[in-house]
Amino acid sequence: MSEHPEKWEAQVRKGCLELAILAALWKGRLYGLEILRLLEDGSNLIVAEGTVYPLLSRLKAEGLIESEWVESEGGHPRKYYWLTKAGRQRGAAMAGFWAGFAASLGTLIQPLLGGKRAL
Amino acid sequence: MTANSDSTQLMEYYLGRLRESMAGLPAAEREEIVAEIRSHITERSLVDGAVDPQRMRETLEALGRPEEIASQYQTNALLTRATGSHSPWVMLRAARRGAMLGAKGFGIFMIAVTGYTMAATFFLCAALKPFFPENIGLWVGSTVGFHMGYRAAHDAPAAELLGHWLPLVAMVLGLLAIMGTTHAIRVLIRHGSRAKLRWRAE
Repeated sequence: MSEHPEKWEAQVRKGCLELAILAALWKGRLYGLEILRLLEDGSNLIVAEGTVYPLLSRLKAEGLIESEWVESEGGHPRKYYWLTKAGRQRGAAMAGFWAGFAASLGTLIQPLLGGKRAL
Repeated sequence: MTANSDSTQLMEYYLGRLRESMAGLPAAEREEIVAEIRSHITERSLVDGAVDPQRMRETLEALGRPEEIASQYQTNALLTRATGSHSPWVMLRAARRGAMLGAKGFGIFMIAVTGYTMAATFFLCAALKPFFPENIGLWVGSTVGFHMGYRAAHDAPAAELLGHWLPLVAMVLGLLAIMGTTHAIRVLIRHGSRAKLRWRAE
Protein backbone atom coordinates (compact mmCIF):
# COMPACT_ATOMS: atom_id res chain seq x y z
CA MET A 1 0.00 0.00 0.00
CA SER A 2 1.48 3.33 -1.03
CA GLU A 3 0.62 6.22 1.24
CA HIS A 4 0.74 9.24 -1.03
CA PRO A 5 -1.29 12.18 0.16
CA GLU A 6 -3.17 12.30 -3.17
CA LYS A 7 -4.19 8.72 -2.57
CA TRP A 8 -5.58 9.61 0.86
CA GLU A 9 -7.55 12.49 -0.63
CA ALA A 10 -8.92 10.22 -3.34
CA GLN A 11 -10.02 7.74 -0.67
CA VAL A 12 -11.80 10.39 1.36
CA ARG A 13 -13.59 11.61 -1.76
CA LYS A 14 -14.54 8.09 -2.65
CA GLY A 15 -15.79 7.30 0.81
CA CYS A 16 -18.02 10.34 0.80
CA LEU A 17 -19.44 9.76 -2.66
CA GLU A 18 -22.14 7.36 -1.47
CA LEU A 19 -23.43 9.86 1.08
CA ALA A 20 -23.22 12.68 -1.47
CA ILE A 21 -25.38 10.73 -3.93
CA LEU A 22 -27.98 9.90 -1.29
CA ALA A 23 -28.00 13.59 -0.33
CA ALA A 24 -28.37 14.68 -3.96
CA LEU A 25 -31.44 12.47 -4.32
CA TRP A 26 -32.98 13.65 -1.03
CA LYS A 27 -35.32 16.18 -2.64
CA GLY A 28 -36.51 14.07 -5.53
CA ARG A 29 -35.70 12.03 -8.61
CA LEU A 30 -32.71 12.87 -10.79
CA TYR A 31 -30.88 11.23 -13.69
CA GLY A 32 -27.14 10.48 -13.64
CA LEU A 33 -25.92 13.70 -15.24
CA GLU A 34 -28.07 15.84 -12.93
CA ILE A 35 -26.59 14.07 -9.94
CA LEU A 36 -23.09 14.69 -11.33
CA ARG A 37 -23.81 18.38 -11.85
CA LEU A 38 -25.12 18.72 -8.31
CA LEU A 39 -21.99 17.07 -6.95
CA GLU A 40 -19.75 19.27 -9.10
CA ASP A 41 -21.26 22.50 -7.85
CA GLY A 42 -18.86 23.90 -5.32
CA SER A 43 -17.30 20.58 -4.34
CA ASN A 44 -14.44 18.67 -5.92
CA LEU A 45 -15.95 15.36 -4.92
CA ILE A 46 -15.65 13.69 -8.31
CA VAL A 47 -12.36 12.27 -9.55
CA ALA A 48 -13.53 10.31 -12.59
CA GLU A 49 -17.14 10.91 -13.62
CA GLY A 50 -17.41 7.29 -14.72
CA THR A 51 -17.29 6.11 -11.09
CA VAL A 52 -20.73 7.56 -10.34
CA TYR A 53 -22.59 5.11 -12.59
CA PRO A 54 -21.23 1.85 -11.12
CA LEU A 55 -21.87 3.31 -7.67
CA LEU A 56 -25.52 4.06 -8.60
CA SER A 57 -25.80 0.48 -9.81
CA ARG A 58 -24.49 -0.84 -6.48
CA LEU A 59 -26.81 1.39 -4.44
CA LYS A 60 -29.67 0.00 -6.49
CA ALA A 61 -28.50 -3.59 -5.91
CA GLU A 62 -28.47 -2.82 -2.18
CA GLY A 63 -32.05 -1.57 -2.35
CA LEU A 64 -31.22 2.02 -1.39
CA ILE A 65 -32.40 3.57 -4.67
CA GLU A 66 -34.77 2.67 -7.51
CA SER A 67 -34.55 3.61 -11.19
CA GLU A 68 -36.67 4.08 -14.29
CA TRP A 69 -36.03 5.01 -17.93
CA VAL A 70 -37.84 8.13 -19.17
CA GLU A 71 -37.89 9.54 -22.69
CA SER A 72 -36.69 13.15 -22.85
CA GLU A 73 -37.89 15.91 -25.18
CA GLY A 74 -34.42 15.80 -26.79
CA GLY A 75 -35.17 12.29 -27.99
CA HIS A 76 -32.67 10.30 -25.93
CA PRO A 77 -33.83 8.36 -22.87
CA ARG A 78 -32.59 9.15 -19.38
CA LYS A 79 -32.34 6.81 -16.41
CA TYR A 80 -33.88 8.47 -13.34
CA TYR A 81 -33.08 7.47 -9.78
CA TRP A 82 -34.89 8.06 -6.51
CA LEU A 83 -34.44 7.01 -2.88
CA THR A 84 -36.28 4.03 -1.42
CA LYS A 85 -37.39 3.99 2.19
CA ALA A 86 -34.23 2.06 3.07
CA GLY A 87 -32.21 4.66 1.16
CA ARG A 88 -33.71 7.52 3.16
CA GLN A 89 -32.94 5.71 6.42
CA ARG A 90 -29.39 4.95 5.33
CA GLY A 91 -28.86 8.54 4.16
CA ALA A 92 -30.12 9.97 7.44
CA ALA A 93 -27.94 7.58 9.44
CA MET A 94 -24.85 8.39 7.35
CA ALA A 95 -25.49 12.13 7.62
CA GLY A 96 -25.82 11.84 11.40
CA PHE A 97 -22.57 9.91 11.65
CA TRP A 98 -20.80 12.34 9.35
CA ALA A 99 -21.89 15.43 11.28
CA GLY A 100 -20.57 14.04 14.57
CA PHE A 101 -17.41 12.72 12.96
CA ALA A 102 -16.62 15.99 11.18
CA ALA A 103 -17.24 18.02 14.33
CA SER A 104 -14.89 15.98 16.53
CA LEU A 105 -12.20 15.72 13.87
CA GLY A 106 -12.55 19.44 13.23
CA THR A 107 -11.74 20.17 16.86
CA LEU A 108 -8.82 17.76 16.81
CA ILE A 109 -7.15 19.20 13.74
CA GLN A 110 -7.53 22.82 14.74
CA PRO A 111 -3.88 23.16 15.85
CA LEU A 112 -2.73 21.80 12.48
CA LEU A 113 -4.45 24.61 10.65
CA GLY A 114 -2.21 27.25 12.28
CA GLY A 115 -3.76 30.68 12.20
CA LYS A 116 -6.86 29.54 10.33
CA ARG A 117 -9.88 28.37 12.26
CA ALA A 118 -11.48 25.07 11.42
CA LEU A 119 -15.08 25.20 10.34
CA MET B 1 -21.38 17.23 -40.73
CA THR B 2 -18.07 15.35 -40.90
CA ALA B 3 -17.18 16.57 -37.42
CA ASN B 4 -20.46 15.18 -36.19
CA SER B 5 -19.96 11.71 -37.66
CA ASP B 6 -16.38 11.66 -36.35
CA SER B 7 -17.77 12.36 -32.89
CA THR B 8 -20.34 9.60 -33.26
CA GLN B 9 -17.56 7.21 -34.26
CA LEU B 10 -15.49 8.24 -31.26
CA MET B 11 -18.45 7.63 -28.94
CA GLU B 12 -19.20 4.25 -30.52
CA TYR B 13 -15.54 3.27 -30.14
CA TYR B 14 -15.68 4.19 -26.45
CA LEU B 15 -18.96 2.32 -25.90
CA GLY B 16 -17.59 -0.68 -27.81
CA ARG B 17 -14.62 -0.88 -25.47
CA LEU B 18 -16.96 -0.56 -22.49
CA ARG B 19 -19.19 -3.35 -23.78
CA GLU B 20 -16.26 -5.67 -24.50
CA SER B 21 -14.80 -5.15 -21.05
CA MET B 22 -18.07 -6.25 -19.41
CA ALA B 23 -18.13 -9.68 -21.05
CA GLY B 24 -18.80 -11.30 -17.67
CA LEU B 25 -22.17 -9.58 -17.19
CA PRO B 26 -25.56 -10.73 -18.54
CA ALA B 27 -26.28 -9.18 -21.96
CA ALA B 28 -29.37 -7.25 -20.82
CA GLU B 29 -27.52 -5.67 -17.92
CA ARG B 30 -24.58 -4.81 -20.18
CA GLU B 31 -26.79 -3.08 -22.74
CA GLU B 32 -28.56 -1.08 -20.06
CA ILE B 33 -25.22 0.19 -18.76
CA VAL B 34 -24.10 1.08 -22.29
CA ALA B 35 -27.40 2.91 -22.86
CA GLU B 36 -26.95 4.93 -19.68
CA ILE B 37 -23.36 5.93 -20.52
CA ARG B 38 -24.45 6.74 -24.10
CA SER B 39 -27.16 9.00 -22.73
CA HIS B 40 -24.57 10.71 -20.51
CA ILE B 41 -22.07 11.26 -23.34
CA THR B 42 -24.72 12.52 -25.76
CA GLU B 43 -26.20 15.05 -23.39
CA ARG B 44 -22.89 16.23 -21.97
CA SER B 45 -21.45 16.80 -25.46
CA LEU B 46 -24.20 19.17 -26.55
CA VAL B 47 -23.37 22.81 -27.21
CA ASP B 48 -26.42 24.87 -28.23
CA GLY B 49 -28.38 21.73 -29.00
CA ALA B 50 -25.75 20.11 -31.25
CA VAL B 51 -22.97 17.61 -30.50
CA ASP B 52 -19.67 19.46 -30.25
CA PRO B 53 -16.55 17.41 -31.12
CA GLN B 54 -14.32 19.22 -28.63
CA ARG B 55 -16.91 18.87 -25.85
CA MET B 56 -17.30 15.17 -26.70
CA ARG B 57 -13.55 14.58 -26.22
CA GLU B 58 -13.66 16.37 -22.87
CA THR B 59 -16.69 14.32 -21.84
CA LEU B 60 -14.96 11.02 -22.61
CA GLU B 61 -11.81 12.21 -20.86
CA ALA B 62 -13.79 13.12 -17.74
CA LEU B 63 -15.55 9.74 -17.73
CA GLY B 64 -12.25 7.89 -17.47
CA ARG B 65 -11.12 4.71 -19.21
CA PRO B 66 -14.05 2.46 -20.21
CA GLU B 67 -12.15 -0.57 -18.88
CA GLU B 68 -12.04 1.10 -15.48
CA ILE B 69 -15.80 1.69 -15.43
CA ALA B 70 -16.42 -1.87 -16.63
CA SER B 71 -14.15 -3.26 -13.92
CA GLN B 72 -16.18 -1.49 -11.22
CA TYR B 73 -19.45 -2.89 -12.58
CA GLN B 74 -17.92 -6.39 -12.73
CA THR B 75 -16.57 -6.16 -9.20
CA ASN B 76 -20.03 -5.10 -7.97
CA ALA B 77 -21.70 -7.99 -9.74
CA LEU B 78 -19.21 -10.58 -8.56
CA LEU B 79 -19.30 -9.47 -4.93
CA THR B 80 -23.09 -9.41 -4.96
CA ARG B 81 -23.11 -12.92 -6.37
CA ALA B 82 -20.41 -14.22 -3.99
CA THR B 83 -22.28 -13.09 -0.86
CA GLY B 84 -25.40 -14.92 -2.06
CA SER B 85 -23.72 -18.04 -3.41
CA HIS B 86 -22.31 -21.33 -2.12
CA SER B 87 -20.50 -22.37 -5.26
CA PRO B 88 -16.71 -22.83 -4.92
CA TRP B 89 -16.39 -21.70 -8.54
CA VAL B 90 -18.04 -18.32 -7.88
CA MET B 91 -16.02 -18.00 -4.66
CA LEU B 92 -12.73 -18.66 -6.44
CA ARG B 93 -13.56 -16.12 -9.16
CA ALA B 94 -14.55 -13.49 -6.62
CA ALA B 95 -11.42 -14.21 -4.58
CA ARG B 96 -9.22 -14.08 -7.67
CA ARG B 97 -10.67 -10.71 -8.56
CA GLY B 98 -10.04 -9.56 -5.00
CA ALA B 99 -6.44 -10.78 -5.18
CA MET B 100 -5.71 -8.23 -7.88
CA LEU B 101 -7.07 -5.41 -5.77
CA GLY B 102 -4.92 -5.43 -2.65
CA ALA B 103 -3.11 -7.28 0.11
CA LYS B 104 -6.27 -8.26 1.99
CA GLY B 105 -7.87 -9.52 -1.20
CA PHE B 106 -4.76 -11.57 -1.85
CA GLY B 107 -5.06 -13.10 1.62
CA ILE B 108 -8.64 -14.15 0.89
CA PHE B 109 -7.51 -15.61 -2.41
CA MET B 110 -4.82 -17.67 -0.64
CA ILE B 111 -7.39 -18.98 1.86
CA ALA B 112 -9.64 -19.98 -1.05
CA VAL B 113 -6.87 -21.77 -2.93
CA THR B 114 -5.53 -23.52 0.18
CA GLY B 115 -8.97 -24.59 1.41
CA TYR B 116 -10.20 -25.93 -1.91
CA THR B 117 -6.86 -27.66 -2.61
CA MET B 118 -7.13 -29.39 0.75
CA ALA B 119 -10.68 -30.50 -0.10
CA ALA B 120 -9.53 -31.80 -3.48
CA THR B 121 -6.72 -33.78 -1.80
CA PHE B 122 -9.18 -35.45 0.57
CA PHE B 123 -11.45 -36.42 -2.32
CA LEU B 124 -8.46 -37.71 -4.25
CA CYS B 125 -7.45 -39.89 -1.29
CA ALA B 126 -10.97 -41.29 -1.04
CA ALA B 127 -11.08 -42.03 -4.76
CA LEU B 128 -7.62 -43.66 -4.93
CA LYS B 129 -7.86 -45.80 -1.80
CA PRO B 130 -9.50 -48.78 -3.59
CA PHE B 131 -6.68 -48.80 -6.18
CA PHE B 132 -3.74 -48.36 -3.79
CA PRO B 133 -5.04 -49.89 -0.52
CA GLU B 134 -1.49 -50.31 0.86
CA ASN B 135 -0.25 -46.84 0.04
CA ILE B 136 -3.11 -44.43 0.74
CA GLY B 137 -3.96 -43.91 4.37
CA LEU B 138 -3.89 -41.81 7.48
CA TRP B 139 -0.32 -42.35 8.56
CA VAL B 140 1.24 -41.97 11.96
CA GLY B 141 4.98 -42.49 12.52
CA SER B 142 7.90 -40.99 14.39
CA THR B 143 9.43 -39.55 11.22
CA VAL B 144 6.36 -38.96 9.04
CA GLY B 145 4.33 -37.34 11.80
CA PHE B 146 0.62 -37.40 11.16
CA HIS B 147 -0.67 -37.07 7.62
CA MET B 148 -3.19 -38.33 5.14
CA GLY B 149 -2.05 -39.25 1.67
CA TYR B 150 0.29 -41.47 -0.30
CA ARG B 151 3.17 -43.39 1.26
CA ALA B 152 5.52 -45.64 -0.71
CA ALA B 153 6.55 -49.02 0.75
CA HIS B 154 10.20 -48.00 1.17
CA ASP B 155 9.35 -44.74 3.00
CA ALA B 156 9.87 -44.32 6.74
CA PRO B 157 7.79 -46.77 8.78
CA ALA B 158 4.34 -45.59 9.78
CA ALA B 159 1.10 -47.10 10.99
CA GLU B 160 -2.16 -46.67 9.12
CA LEU B 161 -5.13 -45.76 11.31
CA LEU B 162 -8.29 -45.88 9.23
CA GLY B 163 -8.20 -48.90 6.95
CA HIS B 164 -11.51 -49.35 5.10
CA TRP B 165 -12.92 -46.33 6.84
CA LEU B 166 -10.57 -44.01 4.96
CA PRO B 167 -12.76 -43.22 1.91
CA LEU B 168 -15.70 -42.27 4.13
CA VAL B 169 -13.60 -40.20 6.54
CA ALA B 170 -11.75 -38.50 3.66
CA MET B 171 -15.06 -37.66 1.94
CA VAL B 172 -16.44 -36.12 5.11
CA LEU B 173 -13.22 -34.14 5.69
CA GLY B 174 -13.28 -32.99 2.05
CA LEU B 175 -16.86 -31.77 2.38
CA LEU B 176 -16.02 -30.01 5.63
CA ALA B 177 -13.04 -28.33 3.95
CA ILE B 178 -15.24 -27.06 1.09
CA MET B 179 -17.98 -25.82 3.39
CA GLY B 180 -15.51 -24.24 5.81
CA THR B 181 -13.60 -22.45 3.06
CA THR B 182 -16.76 -21.20 1.36
CA HIS B 183 -18.15 -19.96 4.65
CA ALA B 184 -14.88 -18.22 5.55
CA ILE B 185 -14.72 -16.40 2.21
CA ARG B 186 -18.36 -15.32 2.43
CA VAL B 187 -17.80 -13.91 5.90
CA LEU B 188 -14.55 -12.20 4.90
CA ILE B 189 -16.09 -10.66 1.79
CA ARG B 190 -19.19 -9.52 3.62
CA HIS B 191 -17.48 -7.97 6.64
CA GLY B 192 -15.22 -5.10 5.85
CA SER B 193 -13.42 -6.33 2.83
CA ARG B 194 -16.51 -5.79 0.69
CA ALA B 195 -16.08 -2.05 0.96
CA LYS B 196 -12.32 -2.33 0.86
CA LEU B 197 -12.22 -4.38 -2.31
CA ARG B 198 -14.43 -1.91 -4.05
CA TRP B 199 -12.39 0.92 -2.70
CA ARG B 200 -9.28 -0.52 -4.27
CA ALA B 201 -11.01 -1.27 -7.55
CA GLU B 202 -10.36 2.32 -8.58
